[in-house]
This record gives sequence, C-alpha cells and structure tokens, in this order.
Amino acid sequence: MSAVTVSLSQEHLELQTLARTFAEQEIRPISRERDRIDDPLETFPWEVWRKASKLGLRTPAIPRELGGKGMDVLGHCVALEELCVADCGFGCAFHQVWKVSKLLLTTEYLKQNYLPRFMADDDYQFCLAMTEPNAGSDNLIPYDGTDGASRTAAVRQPNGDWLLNGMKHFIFAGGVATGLFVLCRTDPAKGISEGGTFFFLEKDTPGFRFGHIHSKMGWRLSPNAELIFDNVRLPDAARVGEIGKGLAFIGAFGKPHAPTTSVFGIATARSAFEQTLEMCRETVVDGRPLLEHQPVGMRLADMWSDIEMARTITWKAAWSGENNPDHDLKLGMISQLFAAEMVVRVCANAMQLWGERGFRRDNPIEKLMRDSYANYHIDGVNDLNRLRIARALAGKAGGGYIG
Amino acid sequence: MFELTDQQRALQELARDFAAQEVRPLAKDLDLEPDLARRFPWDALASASRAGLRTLALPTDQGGFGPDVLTLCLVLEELAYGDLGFASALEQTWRASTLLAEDRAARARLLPAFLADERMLLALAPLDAGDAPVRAVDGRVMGQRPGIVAGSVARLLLVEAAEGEAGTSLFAVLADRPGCRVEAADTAGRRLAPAGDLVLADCAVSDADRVGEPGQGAALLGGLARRLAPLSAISAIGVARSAYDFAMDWANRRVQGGKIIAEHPSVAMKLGDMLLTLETGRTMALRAAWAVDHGADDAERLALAARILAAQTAHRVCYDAMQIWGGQGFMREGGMEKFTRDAAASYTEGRVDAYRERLGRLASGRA
Repeated sequence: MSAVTVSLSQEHLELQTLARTFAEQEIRPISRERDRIDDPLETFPWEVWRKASKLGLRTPAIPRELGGKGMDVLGHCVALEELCVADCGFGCAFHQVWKVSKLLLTTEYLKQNYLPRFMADDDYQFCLAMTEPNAGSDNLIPYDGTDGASRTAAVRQPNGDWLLNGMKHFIFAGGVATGLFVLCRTDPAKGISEGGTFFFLEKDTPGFRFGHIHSKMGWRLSPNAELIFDNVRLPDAARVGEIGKGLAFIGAFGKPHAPTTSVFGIATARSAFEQTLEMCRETVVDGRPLLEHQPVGMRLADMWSDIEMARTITWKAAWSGENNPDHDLKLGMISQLFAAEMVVRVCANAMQLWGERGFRRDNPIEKLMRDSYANYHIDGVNDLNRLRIARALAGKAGGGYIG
Repeated sequence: MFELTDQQRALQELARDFAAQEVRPLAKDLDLEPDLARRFPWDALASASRAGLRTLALPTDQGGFGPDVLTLCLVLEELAYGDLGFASALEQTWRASTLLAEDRAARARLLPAFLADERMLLALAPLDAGDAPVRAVDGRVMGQRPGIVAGSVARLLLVEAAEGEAGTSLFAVLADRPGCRVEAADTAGRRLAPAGDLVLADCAVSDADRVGEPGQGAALLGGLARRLAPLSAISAIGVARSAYDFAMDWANRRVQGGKIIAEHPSVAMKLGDMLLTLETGRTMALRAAWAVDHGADDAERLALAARILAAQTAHRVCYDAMQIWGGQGFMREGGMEKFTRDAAASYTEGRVDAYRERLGRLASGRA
C-alpha cells in the first residue's frame, strides 16, 4: 500500500517561506538579464548565491547537529520549487548542492576533511560527474559491455593511490564548483556495473582542470562544463563507496531523490502559468478579459491541471521514499517522466496564449519555453524513465539492457 | 491527387541546392549573433534574387511564377529547411509583392525598383489591436505596429491603417521615409530576419502611396492571407524536416548500449513517429496548396487544417529530435536546439485556437 496523504510540516512551511521570499526579492529581478549574457561563465550570480548561503539556503540538507537544517526530501521539493519559479537554472545550483552535499556524510574521510570546508565556504558547490562524450545513457541504463559507458580511468598505483585520466562533459556546475564526485572506470575488463567507482576531489587538485564551458538553450544562469583529468593522483581515502560498485552506490543514494528533479518542470510550468493567468486577466478583448473567453479558459485549465497532477505525484513520491517502508520506486520515475513532458506542454500552451508577444525576448515567456526543454534529459531522457518503469514492472531491479 | 510539373521539380531542386549551399552553412552562427543588425545574410539574398527566388510570387509577365501557391510552397519548404528567418523574409516579400502586382498604379510605380534592387525586401504590416493601432488622417499615418515578421530587414512596408469611416486602407511606405521608424526586435527563433517594431509619427502619405482603394485594406489582406495560408504551414514543415534530418543523422551515428541507437526499438519507434508526423503535416500542406490553386470547395478548410497540423508537427518533431540527441540537444554547440526555437514561431504566429474554431464552424456548416 502506498500513502495518499502528504501534509507539510511547520518546518516545511518555514523553509518554503524563506525560499519564496528570497527568490522573489533576489533571484527573479536578475533572472532575465543574466539569461541574456552570452558568455556561459559570466551568467552565474555569485552575489545572490552568497546572500543565499548566509541565510542558510546552501546547507539545509546537512543534519542539524552538523550545522544544517536537517531538510528531508519533501522539504527539498517544497523549497526548490520556490527558487526555481524565479529561475530554474540558478535554482538547480541549490538542488545540486543540497543533494550532493549529503555524499560528504557517506565516508568518515570526507566528513572530517571536507564537510567543514563546505560548511564554511559560501562559494562551495559540487559537480556529480558521470556523462562523457561517448557515455550518456550508457551510465544510466546501465549498459554493461566493456565497449561502453564511462571510460575515465582510475588506475591503482603500487602505493595504493589512484591515478585518474580522462574527460567528462556537460557536467552541471562545471566551472563554478569546488568539490567533484567523479565516476571512474577502475576495471576496464568489466562492465560499468562492476567496474565503476566514485572518487572525490577538489578543483585545485594537480592535474585537474575545467575545459570548455557549454552554452545552453536554457538554464543559462548555471554553467555546464567539461572536466579534464590529466594524471590526477588521489589517495584511496578519496574513494567513495566500494571498488567497482560505484553505480550501485550512486543508485541507492539517488533513488529517494528522484522526485526532486521533477520540481524543475513543476516550477517552470508554474511560472509560465502564473504569468499567463495574469496576462489573461488583464487583457480585455471584446469587452471581456481573455480569461473569460472559452478557448483561453480551456487552455488555462489544462495548464493548471497538468501542474497540479505533477506536484501531487512528486510530493507523494518524495514523502513515500523516506517514510514508507513499502515505497514503490516507480513513483519517483513517473514523477520525473510526467513533469518533464508536462512542462513542455504547459510552456507551449503559454506561448500560444501570448501569441507573437510570447515569441519576443523582451517578454518573460520565451525564456521559460527554453528552460522547459532542459527537463527531457535530466537523469536520462524521457524514454529512459519509461524503460525504468517497464523494468520495474518486469520485476527487475537493475542491470540488463532493455532493447 | 497531385503531381509536380517538371518546372516545379526544377524549382524545388534549385531552392534545395541554394538553401543547402548558401543558407544553412551560415545559419547557426548568424542565429547566435548578438547584434540584430548583423544577422541577415544579405549576400545570400542577392544570390537568391539572381536565381529568381525573391520575385517568385510575381505574375509570369513580371518574371515570377505566381500565383501558383503549390510552387511557392515547394520552394518555401526548402528555404525554411535552410533557415526559417531567411525563408520568412522571402515569404513576406512574396506576399507583399503579390498585392503590389495586382494594383495597376502600385505596379507601375513600385515594381520597377523592386525588380531592379536585388537586396530589396518587402513586408506586410497588418493592423493589430495594440495600444496605438495605425490610423490615417489627413494625408498622414501615425501609430504603432510591433512585431512585423522580418520587418527589420524590409525596405518597403505595406502598412494597413484605419481610415475614418472607410475601414482600413493600405499604404506603401519606405522604411526610411521621414516619420517612419522601424526598430529590430529580438525573438526566440526566426532570428536571421529580426522582427520590426514600426512607429509612425505623422508620416506623410499621398494617394500615390495607396495600394488598392481607400477602405479596401482589410479585404485585400484577408484575401491574400486566405490564398497564401498554405505558406504559413509549409515553413513550419521545413523546420520540422531540418530537425528530422538532424535527428536521423545522429541516430545513425551515436552508439549507446553497444549499438547504433537507431537499432534500439525505443529509438526506432521515435524515428517512426517523427516520419509519420512530418509526412502527414507535409502532405496536408501541399494538398491545401493544390486545393487553393484549383479553387476547390474545401480549400479554406484544408488550409486551416494544414496550418494547425503544421504547428503541431514542428513542435512534436523538434521535441522528439531533441530527445534523440540527448543532452547534446540542449547545448547550443550541437545546433539542434535552434530548430526547436524556430518551431515556436509556428504556434505563436497567428491564433491556433481561432483556426481550430473556424475549422469546426466550417465543418458544422455554422461559419
């Protein structure tokens, strides 16, 4: 049985208010102007980020006894929506830090050496690096041939150290992050499920550098970049999880977080809906507000319904993942898939209601349309979530390649 | 139902080669050019003019192929395959030149300059319900018309103005005439030919500037829009075909899961959906053009259906194509996301819901 009632606690509501107020006052006013900067390394609003950090918005996922707010996954969803409504690309920078900072708690070495640095440094962000030019879906399905998936190599040295060589690309927060979690191939003779291992390093480690910064269609306030490893030497203590079990490790860590990525679509859709609703209230055609014209009202009804359905399944999945012993993993998958497709529908509806005005860059809607297209590839393309659900229906937990 | 003539096939091929060789190679960089005044490929336009593509909609005695809508559609699809903005600049020119050619006085006064200047583009500025719609009073036109498609690159604008009791009238106004200002407006797509925001401040016009009779503006523009409606559909199809080919190329190169991704059933199904959607939209657009050319009874409803379907087609095919491209599709460097931005032109221009309602009323006999 899965739970059907989800209620927000006082803590959730306080976090929601904090995030909403900050987003409205600090993020929304700079969003569109920053989006228009061409250089993808110049768009990140560092001053706003530092202000957020001072308010505790960078470290809420860390337990209270370690200096955070002990935010759960449902709180993550609730607060993230408020930030992402103001700007989804920048909001994702918070999501990334909230989620990945919890990885610092997974080993004693990271907790002792890096958690204090993370807590103290307002600028400290993370990359979670898996994708390579020839390894996208391969890492996520996963594909277990030795001819595919991540090739960035970590080779054991006689003294127990690891030597990393290779390259990642499209990595979110590349160029602005300090701490990097990286999937490496520790056994090229095995598939990624048995031969992949995660390591942690900081960007100043000798031999590491950020490469090309990718310019994107949307989500322009945060950069994605190449990560280049040229004889990077790491101690074995920098290894995260068991040797060869990197994918299983990150999979177990990531599963309760699946619904958090649905929030991006919900937030962008909500922003498009709210601004379109306001326009349709204010614009009078033939003596009546647009909102009261049947064709317009029907599109707005579709938009509202789409968003409400996505949020309902997302919050249910978030609550269930942490509280329901019989949690159904398919809930997180469907929340991602539904939200990713929903936001593209909602933004297309918004564009149609705005008409030619919506196509202009001096209007807020076209940016939301561009942002909406980020969602089809978060945590894998839409069909990958269909295949994950299919695999779950077939009773297979992981591994194996459908198709 | 219809077959292409040898002449139509030859023009289609000419436009295809031209778009592939002279437009597409420039399109990705020009689309990302921040300076709006430097986006339009003027040399490509000159080359298109020499090939007869700029004046294609003129009557045959003026050197064109008009008013054969099917021919125009075949050519426009190829141009839009090269770049939607470039194609829209020519489409606007075709529309406006059709009206000039049909008015005896305007033809004598304006067509010679249009024919002689290989860089002269035209655009239509229909009245809109904005804050200050254009009106004509005592030999002057004043008001605003924002968002004229490809308006910032047009030299001559056909401006619709409300004129007292008469209704609306059309005036041909050079963009650099005193009292006339056109500012380029940035948009999500169709960026090679930026839209134009027209501001008319007591701009003097005379009877010699009129196209058609006073009060005839709405009828002339309405008639033109009905006849050339399939053009709006086919340009969206051209964009969809670009995205389709881009996705097909990637699907046949990209290896994931140990094989070329086109070999995975999930990808093959998506490619099949794309082909189905594209061919359906394309067939409907060309059939509508044929129906218009042959004065078929159902020409208006086919054209409406084609226009609605084309917007859906462009949207769906581009979305599918981006998914085939994976994360690469979202990066500007890949070139895929441009088609998705261009496709948005098809569902923001005009009112899809109004077309749906009109189509339903035609179908139920209650138009």
